[in-house]
Amino acid sequence: MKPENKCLVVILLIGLLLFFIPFFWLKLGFVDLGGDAGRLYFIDPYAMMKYIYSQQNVFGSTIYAMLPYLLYLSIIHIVILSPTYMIAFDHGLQLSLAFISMYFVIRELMPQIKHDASVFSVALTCGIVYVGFITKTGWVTSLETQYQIFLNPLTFYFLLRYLKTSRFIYATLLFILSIVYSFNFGFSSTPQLMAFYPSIFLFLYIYFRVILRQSIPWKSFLLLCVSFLLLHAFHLLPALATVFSKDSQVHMNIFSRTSIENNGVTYFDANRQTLGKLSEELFGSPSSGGRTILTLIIPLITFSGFIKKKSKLLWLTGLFFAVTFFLVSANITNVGVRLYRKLFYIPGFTMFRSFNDKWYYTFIFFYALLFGLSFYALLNKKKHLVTAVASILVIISVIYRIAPFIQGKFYQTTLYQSRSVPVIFNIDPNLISALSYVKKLPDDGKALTLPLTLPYEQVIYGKSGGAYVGLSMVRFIGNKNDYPGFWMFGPHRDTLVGVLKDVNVHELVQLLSILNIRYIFRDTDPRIMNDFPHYPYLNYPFDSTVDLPVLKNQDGYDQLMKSLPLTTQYKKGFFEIMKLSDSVVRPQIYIPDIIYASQSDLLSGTSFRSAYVDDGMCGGTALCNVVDTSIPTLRFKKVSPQNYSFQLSVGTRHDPFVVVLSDDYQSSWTMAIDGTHDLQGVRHLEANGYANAWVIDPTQLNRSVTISGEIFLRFQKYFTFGWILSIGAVVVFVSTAIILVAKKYEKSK
Amino acid sequence: MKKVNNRIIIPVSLFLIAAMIGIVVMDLLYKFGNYDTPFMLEFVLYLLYTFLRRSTSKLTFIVVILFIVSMGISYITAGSTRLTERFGEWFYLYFIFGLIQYGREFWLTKNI
Repeated sequence: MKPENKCLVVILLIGLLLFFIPFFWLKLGFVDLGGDAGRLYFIDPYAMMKYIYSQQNVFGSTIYAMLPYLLYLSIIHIVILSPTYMIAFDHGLQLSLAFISMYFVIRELMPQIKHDASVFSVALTCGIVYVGFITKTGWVTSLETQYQIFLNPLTFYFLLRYLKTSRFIYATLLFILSIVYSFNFGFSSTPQLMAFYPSIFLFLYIYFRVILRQSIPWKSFLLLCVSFLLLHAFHLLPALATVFSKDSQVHMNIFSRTSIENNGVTYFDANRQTLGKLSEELFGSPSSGGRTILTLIIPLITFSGFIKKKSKLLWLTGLFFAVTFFLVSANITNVGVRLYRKLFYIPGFTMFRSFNDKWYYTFIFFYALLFGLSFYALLNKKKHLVTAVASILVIISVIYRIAPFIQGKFYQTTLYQSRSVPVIFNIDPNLISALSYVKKLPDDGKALTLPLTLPYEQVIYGKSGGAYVGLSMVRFIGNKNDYPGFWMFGPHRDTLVGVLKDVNVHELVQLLSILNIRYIFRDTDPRIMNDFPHYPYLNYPFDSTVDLPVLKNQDGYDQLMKSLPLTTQYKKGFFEIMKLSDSVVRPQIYIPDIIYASQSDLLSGTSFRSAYVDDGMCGGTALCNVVDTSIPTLRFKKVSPQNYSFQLSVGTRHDPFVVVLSDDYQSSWTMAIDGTHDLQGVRHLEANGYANAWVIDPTQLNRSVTISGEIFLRFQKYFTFGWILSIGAVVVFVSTAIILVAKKYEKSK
Repeated sequence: MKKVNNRIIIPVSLFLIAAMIGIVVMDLLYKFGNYDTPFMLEFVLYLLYTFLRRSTSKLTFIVVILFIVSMGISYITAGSTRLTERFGEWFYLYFIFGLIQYGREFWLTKNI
């Protein structure tokens, strides 16, 4: 066997070993799914894919990039049924690819002969050191951005190879990788992307010009960039439209000076001292292997290379290390802090407010690279035995430090502010049955998920201990829009608190009705309340002591449920699904019989077909506070969540009336009549504090008897264009690949 | 002439070394408070020293290693204290200085 192949076998074996380590972390049946991002796709990726695909609106654009990854997981799920093994497979892939790709990066950057044993030892050691660095990131309830740990070195390697060789295969691998993990190239990963890619583009440019003394193949590079943008247009286009849509929260966060100061500068100042620790970045946090003399080894080697040997590559990597170290620690000298603070005034820089996390992936990449190059400088021209012994010592020191990680001890943590409830749990089969029932419910209203948490999370206990605290399963697996926590009620939060405080059942039913809530999903397990005395059930809001006895425990909920007009549809184990009486639920689209000028009038009113608009909207019109006795008949059909067709029988009515769509208000919701929109006589406004409404004036419209039309979300066009561009790019790309393969085959003939 | 130069350079260098060590020690003892003044003073003196002694980046990186070892020992014994973090700042600034010298050495040898 050639020496090069022997090296490859060793690397693949280590990679395989790393891949299988996570399979020993969790007992079969146990999972870790919670956290801010939610990892519910390990239970049912297909259900989550369906939900995200249906969210073609301003709010959904930020998570739309997950679709290819969910499709990939759905395929994996055919083979691996257990969520435990799905998680292990995913973690194993991250660990092993992180190691292998870092090994190849070092080998590729080394100008020396590839068969040199010292290069092999150094690259292997560097791969292990990099694995040591990535064990610091949050593996429990990890975020999707965690994938950067292997995507960063792997994309760097493919890019470097592509620029060096201009071979189509590396572009193909880059595209496949970026598509499968497109979430890591989408809106939610912008901070990590902006931290890494501009840095490596600049690094590669200098590397080509100064070290290789050749110019970058700009044509190939630009072609790659354009193809990349086209391939990812399906999520980039809607995300860009959201950024530039003036009524989106994202736009506000990026461009509003108030938002920059509140979310960026103030947050930075408040957390800088706690988050930015130079020592923890250099030596690793105390949780990652403790503070022993071994913590000194990696930093010592990393900087000793500068004394030993002159190397332009070492110098270049040192520069990038220095910049990223400054950015990840954010606490170097007062001048440095002042400069950092100024950076937040650049639109978009607020995304780096959690600087220690956002810059970490880029920092460890250059840290590992600098370690590798410095280690090589120290071992250069040394005997093979010396090289091997030094490498083994470093590897042992790293393994010793990360031993608790290898054993999966990081899973032995408990949920935030709980009574020592483990973060890992086994899924209750009754929960899966209940969610299957939710999936089959008709699409005629939203759900209220109980018990209500303060933010937007759902708490579910495992069958034998442990619990889930994370995104609503009703929404992401049951595919039913729901309200699991107070934050989800938006402008109605305070009203809900008031209504629950007074236990005003009539007003509560009115509130649920205007929000189009038809179903109630309730978990009656007493442990989910008793074992969580604080978060996520804190008194509302965080800084207040508003006491809500009715939500204190399951007995309170029992009393509340008894007072509501409900029928039980499903009950198994702790899980109950109830339905509110049809007579109190407002349809998704309806014509109000009375329009109030305030929310309080609506809540105390007896009609369950009423609506309210802003007081200013009522002024000067005869719309408000008049009972409409001749409301037109409305028939509608939900074509898709973004499109409804309707027919109105107005008869001889000439007075204006209002049509309400119980979906979150967005200016791009449009009403078209007979295929024409922006008509005189149709006015779009916000109703019920959150919904869309149109005032229709039949006289101005010059229509009588029947009016037919559709209500659609104009914003959806960005998703459509995006898909067209992406599919077009795939077709062109595949055709090019086929042509190239055919040409090669002909040549070989 | 060389003798005369040495007669001036050596004591000045020794003074500079003593002053630089003094600044670092005083800063680590928090005598300057949380200001950047000691950093500025230190690097003005160090710049002067590198001109006088024509020292290379090698010396700067040795200082870097000293700081990283001190920082590491402080971290192992006491954790991320103010002293550890201050050692970190000294390490970083010397590292930057070293990188500039290192780059300059490449530049002077027309190797960049």
